[in-house]
Amino acid sequence: MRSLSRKVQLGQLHVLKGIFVKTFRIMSRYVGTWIMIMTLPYMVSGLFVGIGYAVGGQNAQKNFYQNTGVSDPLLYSVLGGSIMLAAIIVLEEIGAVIREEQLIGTFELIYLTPNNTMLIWFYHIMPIATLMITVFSIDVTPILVWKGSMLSPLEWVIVAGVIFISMLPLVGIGLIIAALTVRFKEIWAVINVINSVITLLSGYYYPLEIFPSIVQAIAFVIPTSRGVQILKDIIAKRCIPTNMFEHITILLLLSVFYLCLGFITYRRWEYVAKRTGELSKY
Amino acid sequence: MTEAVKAMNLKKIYVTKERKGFFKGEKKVVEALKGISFKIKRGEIFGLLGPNGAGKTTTIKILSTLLIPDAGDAWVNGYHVVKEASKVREIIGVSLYSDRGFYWKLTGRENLMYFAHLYHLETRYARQRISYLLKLVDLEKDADRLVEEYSTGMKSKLNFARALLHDPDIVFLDEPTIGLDPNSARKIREVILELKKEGKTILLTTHNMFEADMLCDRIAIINKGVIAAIGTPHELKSMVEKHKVVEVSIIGFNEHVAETLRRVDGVLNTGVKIEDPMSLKMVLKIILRDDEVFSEVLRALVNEKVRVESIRCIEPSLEDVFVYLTGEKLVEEGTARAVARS
Repeated sequence: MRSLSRKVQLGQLHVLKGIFVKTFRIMSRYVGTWIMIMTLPYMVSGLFVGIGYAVGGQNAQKNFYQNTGVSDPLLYSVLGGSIMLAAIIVLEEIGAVIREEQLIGTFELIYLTPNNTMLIWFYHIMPIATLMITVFSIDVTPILVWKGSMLSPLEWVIVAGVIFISMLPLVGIGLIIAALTVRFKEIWAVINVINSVITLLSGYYYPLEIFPSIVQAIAFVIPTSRGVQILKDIIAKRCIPTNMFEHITILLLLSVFYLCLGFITYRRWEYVAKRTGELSKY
Repeated sequence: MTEAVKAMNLKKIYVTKERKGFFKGEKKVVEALKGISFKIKRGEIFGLLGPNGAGKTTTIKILSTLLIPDAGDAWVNGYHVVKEASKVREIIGVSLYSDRGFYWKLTGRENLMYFAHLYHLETRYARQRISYLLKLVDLEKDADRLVEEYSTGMKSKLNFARALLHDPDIVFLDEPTIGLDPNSARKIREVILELKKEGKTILLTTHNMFEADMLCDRIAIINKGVIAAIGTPHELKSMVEKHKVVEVSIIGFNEHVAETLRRVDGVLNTGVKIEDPMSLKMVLKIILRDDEVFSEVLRALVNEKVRVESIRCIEPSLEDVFVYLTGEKLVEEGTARAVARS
């Protein structure tokens, strides 16, 4: 065929590049949103630190250190808040990307391209995760500079890797939400509920050890809870946790589990949608 | 396989839900396609002509792998649309919507570039191709504006350009000129004819008889999921040419008049279109077996005591073929006039 000679060899990398460029361009045109995303961890942390001092009085910081092992509540909260935002945005983007594409009419058009559509949704995590790692770095760096405890390049690489691996299972959860809720069109309601549960059980602003064992057991399957724990150890406590590889192995297993579940659920919905005409409903 | 497209006995049923009050709903079964079959030769412009809800878009969606048929088979360039869907997608270009299907916060050019990436087109080639297509559809000047600023016509043209992005051999166009102003519609029609010269095979759906007549080598008249006839515009019109086509404009029309006329011996079919609901002005197309029936029709009209504004014998058009075959009219009169002007 004539057009084959005009096609690149590594088509999937080309698709990924296209998704990167598209996502960055669209996001660059929502400047206000990004200012809000970058400042929100500070605003929420300020609120929590203020409540902490109001409740704990002069002993607040001492109590905080006893419960968390971290002496700086602002760093602890900003760190947790940044990961919380990253997780919320990843889940929203993946869970709602299909619905949004349906609404603007690009969903079916993606099905007309010679690609595995699930891979296309999966690729969307890459630019979003890159942006969220950048936001995380921008948010945390000022406090680290102020405290004079900057991370080494290796520590930054580990931090970026941990954030990325923590986000992977959320792609699987996002695909499940997308597949189950596209039909009912109430995607935002479901995403908000799941995000609330994940936020509650991830320990962004408090250590999970203060909760009963049943809560800790449920938190075991929440991928972000492990990521938060590793990041707090590396950034706030300035130590590489001894069980980091155990955490990372579990995170990878959770990623495989949630991604497989997401792909199976989505594939099933896709087949039914092609039979019933759901693909084009919006 | 010599045909570019082949459809055999395609059937599709949709199950929809009709709301009955707050919580109750009733399932409704809609038979969108009732076993349609057709073949499209290579390099041909083939039109699916029919009113809204006839099954045109469903047919295109099945052929472009977006929908799985309930029964029947279809092949595009020899590839089965269900079993070899990915191969079909590589060789087809599809334009589905007139003004949807874009990222509003990207420019027209950026939208096309994104889809070029999804089609794995090499970047330098993609840039050249996009510039060529934007020029082809007269969007060059507006290519770097955000799509959110585009008019409906501009979005339609951009949609059309996207369908041609990877230079497909087979192009499916669903109502390509709907919502366009006469000049833009003319431009799109010119491009379609250019594509034919390049040897592309084109399947287009339309309810616009002038467009079908002007562009298509062959036309399938489709109504309520059934193909009523297939042929060249000339062949189709010759079905009616041996009969007489009369257009009657009536004020104070009611359904009883149409029924009475249908019962007149020698009236083969009638199609009714409301022109002005306030004055109950209707245009009635009547296909008569021969001249002798005309006086019977006049007598029936006089007996019905309606105000006849005009009666005229007309040259048969595809619209009349549609009326002859289905007993329904195809397009809004206003639309027809606008198209005629363009």
